[in-house]
Amino acid sequence: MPELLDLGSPRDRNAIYLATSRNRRIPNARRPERVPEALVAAMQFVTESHPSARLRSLTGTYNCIGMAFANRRTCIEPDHVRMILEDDGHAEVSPKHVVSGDLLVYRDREGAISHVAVVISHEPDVANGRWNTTVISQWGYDGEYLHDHADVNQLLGRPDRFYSERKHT
Amino acid sequence: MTLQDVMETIEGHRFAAEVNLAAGFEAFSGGIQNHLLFRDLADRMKDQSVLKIALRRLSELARKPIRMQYENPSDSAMAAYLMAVQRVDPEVAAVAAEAISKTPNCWWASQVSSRIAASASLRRLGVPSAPLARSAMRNMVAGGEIDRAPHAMLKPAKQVNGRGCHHTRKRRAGKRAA
Repeated sequence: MPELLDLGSPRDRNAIYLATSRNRRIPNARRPERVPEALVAAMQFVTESHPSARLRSLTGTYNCIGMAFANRRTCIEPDHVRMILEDDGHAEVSPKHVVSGDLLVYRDREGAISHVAVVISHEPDVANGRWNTTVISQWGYDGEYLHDHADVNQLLGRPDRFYSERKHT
Repeated sequence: MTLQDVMETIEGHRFAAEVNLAAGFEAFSGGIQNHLLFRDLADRMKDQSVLKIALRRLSELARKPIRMQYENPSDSAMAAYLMAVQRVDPEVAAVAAEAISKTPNCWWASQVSSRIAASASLRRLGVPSAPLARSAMRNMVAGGEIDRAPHAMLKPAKQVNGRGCHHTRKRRAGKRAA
């Protein structure tokens, strides 16, 4: 009987216990830290190709989804974001109602979720008739950056919709 | 670029930096397969002598001593080599994947290995295409033939134009008729 590795499954020794608010398990795995030389090369590549990106933290042990939903402890595949948003009560927010702390979800060309960022600031740019949105996100496994929401590498997709779990009385 | 240049660049930190920007396996896989260096290497590997050179290098990288507190620094390169071998000779790739799956501290390379192993198992069962492979994998898990399928193979089918897959459309049509 062949045994196939299922990364992030409960049998994966690198997984931590992580569940949604409805107690559905979130598959995850902790990635080993990358060698320091590789991280420095990664930072140089990101900052050279995206001048708006300002480094916050240089580590490769979690991805953007682990940053947003697991307090930077582990890596979660983008396929699980929809379940997390639903179970944790996130609702779509129109751009005019976005506040700091809300989430921005990116999608690839096929419409699949490819990246998640946390909004840091969101101000109207009246002169240009647009919003100036600064977010914080882990770029793949190449470090965490503060950046303009639209200035990301193509592997991270394009900004799509804002979500928030905010409650109102 | 010579073959040596291509392979040295794939094994460099810059290549790893580019492809590690992917948040998940699908994006990583797409990033590698669209990378010019990967395409160049995969084209050259149609020549058996180049395939042998790449396999020898893959074997060397897998046995290279590493600092155990860190990820294997050849992780992205090994993943790229495995994917290139898979493209030109899936049978040989299955053997290489078996060896790479035992290499310590890998991330992408171990995920590529497990997918190659899964697709080799399915090929032995005579299941040719990816969608069929996915459904066969589900049946194998349900029937107890294998312990568990790789996560990516159990993903729900993607929706097409927001209308759902043909099963969804059939179900909806049935409900409307009822």
